[in-house]
Amino acid sequence: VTQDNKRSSQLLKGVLDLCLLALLSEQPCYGYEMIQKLADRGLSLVSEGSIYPVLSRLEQGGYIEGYREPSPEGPSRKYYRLLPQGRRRLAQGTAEWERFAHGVNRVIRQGEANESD
Amino acid sequence: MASTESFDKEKQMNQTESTQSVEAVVEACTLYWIGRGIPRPAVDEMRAEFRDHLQAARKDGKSIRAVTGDDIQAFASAWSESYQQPAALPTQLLNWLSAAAWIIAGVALFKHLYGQQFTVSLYWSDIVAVLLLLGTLPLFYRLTFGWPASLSPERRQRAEVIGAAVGIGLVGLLAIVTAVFRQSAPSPLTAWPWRLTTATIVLASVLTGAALRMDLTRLRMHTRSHLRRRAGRWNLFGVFALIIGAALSFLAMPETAGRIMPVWLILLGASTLWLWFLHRLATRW
Repeated sequence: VTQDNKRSSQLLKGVLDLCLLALLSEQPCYGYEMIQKLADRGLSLVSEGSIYPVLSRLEQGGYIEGYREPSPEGPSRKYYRLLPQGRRRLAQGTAEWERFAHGVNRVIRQGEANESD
Repeated sequence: MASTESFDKEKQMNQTESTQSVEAVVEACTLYWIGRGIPRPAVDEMRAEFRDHLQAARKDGKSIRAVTGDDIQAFASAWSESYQQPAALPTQLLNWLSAAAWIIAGVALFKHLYGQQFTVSLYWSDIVAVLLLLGTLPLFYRLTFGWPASLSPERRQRAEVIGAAVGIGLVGLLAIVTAVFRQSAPSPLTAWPWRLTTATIVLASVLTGAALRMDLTRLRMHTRSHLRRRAGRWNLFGVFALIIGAALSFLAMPETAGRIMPVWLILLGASTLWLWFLHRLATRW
């Protein structure tokens, strides 16, 4: 695992709940499927299993719901789907993230502009 | 304790990364979650989900470490955090009441067997012995089910040494306190007939059955092969204790001092078998 990957994984951990809620807003998924979808979008975790404590917390908080579905590859699989409270949390979290990312971008770009001067 | 050992073993196995280690890692995490007192339905769900993820990851050529990170115990601990809740007050009360009933029944049975009398006298020293035994229950609970994972290995080791010392010292302490109280309050409080002992055993059994029934974290012996094996070992232990106790009684009963060990073994064997039976009953109820 490279230093860049570790750093990216640390950054992702801070917004992992938001990313998982966003994925579930598209369609219900199971744990490994979420990891694959995150990887497809260029996001990877140093330890994939770290999504489960987050999923458990979201489930216990009433933001998402787990249910079992038969799987063609073996025993039934636990899928998660978004609940209305989760949708509201996603909307709030997205607004927070946009404000935060905007602030970080302004700081970084200002720094770059100062360096080029 | 047991779960920490499993993790150490799993950490070593993780080096080789064999297909079998998927099952071994799942098993180690399951034991850890059981040890942390996570409700069994949640443990079963986490186990199935974890195994599913590991198998899918292996198919994609990923390592176990890619799923769990370097520290499997930290991974299992993080996952279990959201499920950990202290036992409800009625459950705690039931546990303490059943423990108290068992200790009273145990002391009474000991006196019946040791004195070879159907009706025994109850002294203040007996009550002190019961209270002392009750006071040490949290320690024995920790020695049996392990210390919280938040405790560092050094502190855990120290706690075990202290626990063992207290356990050994308890017998001597009980003897001293009983002797002191017997001397300061020599007249018996009341007579304790065998009917009362039987009633206490029945009450303790009912309370324990109810406590086991309410306990979502209890082990389900018939569902897991390794737990079945463990239950078998406990039964063997109980039977051996009974046989040895009976044989020693036959040989040493006439001597007063020699009676303690056989009586103690008979009580230990009988209580082990009886608690196992209650557990089975509560599981199938």
